[in-house]
Amino acid sequence: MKGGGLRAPTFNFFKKKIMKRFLKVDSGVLVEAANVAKLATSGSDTVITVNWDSASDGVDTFTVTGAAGAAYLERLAEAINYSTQLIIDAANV
Amino acid sequence: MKKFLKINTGASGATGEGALYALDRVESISLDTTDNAIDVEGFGGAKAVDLSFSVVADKEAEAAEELVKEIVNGKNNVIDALNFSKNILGPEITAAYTADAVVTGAAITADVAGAFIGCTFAATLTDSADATLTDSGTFSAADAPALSFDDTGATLTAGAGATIVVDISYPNRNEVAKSITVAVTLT
Repeated sequence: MKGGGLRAPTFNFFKKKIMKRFLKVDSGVLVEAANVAKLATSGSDTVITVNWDSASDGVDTFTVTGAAGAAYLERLAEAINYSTQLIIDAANV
Repeated sequence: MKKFLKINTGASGATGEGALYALDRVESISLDTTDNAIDVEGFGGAKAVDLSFSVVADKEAEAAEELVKEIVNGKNNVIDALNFSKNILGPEITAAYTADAVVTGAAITADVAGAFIGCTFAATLTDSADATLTDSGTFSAADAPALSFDDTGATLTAGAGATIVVDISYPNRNEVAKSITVAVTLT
């Protein structure tokens, strides 16, 4: 073969980077989205439950005032997965 | 992708506002063959079962496997707990039927403990002579709904030995998620 033989195939490895996202809840607390265990509604608010450390039963709940409803929770779940924002304002998704 | 299991609130889990459970937080799934259910832990409870699913009788192991497959391989962002598995019927209906031990004729009514909003029911009252009355419909109230049997033209045998059987199903599903039998006395 002319021209120096076979050319080694080129592989482009793009390591998919998982974006760390944070949910901004009441009082300005930023909750890492990966720690969210449950999204629920309480009256007119959203309640976010977080398991900090399952071994020691570390559980916290955070409130997002004025945002609630099944459809809203689904939007919030979508934002947790696909938002381009590093900090997601949980009251406005 | 962080996947969520969608379960509506209220005793039935069939209608109403939703709650989303993050599937990556599941810590354990155990089989409850006594109640035809699987128990899942890991959504923020203090090391207690966070939610239970009613499953097809004797299909607890298959149901648990389907849930695991959904956790690992599911493609959807939000998974509806009522629709993703043929063996998982929906959130477990745990409340017991609380008919009074004595049920009076004329307008025979009996109460169910807890609400099953959105769930359908089919109830049969059978007296000691095997005469029956039926009632069916959809639970629509948040408080304990009453069963009401129309005894017009019926002749029932008074006394002990009567039963009320209530079969409860989730909307758009044919399987009975909970069947409750209570012994009653007709007076």
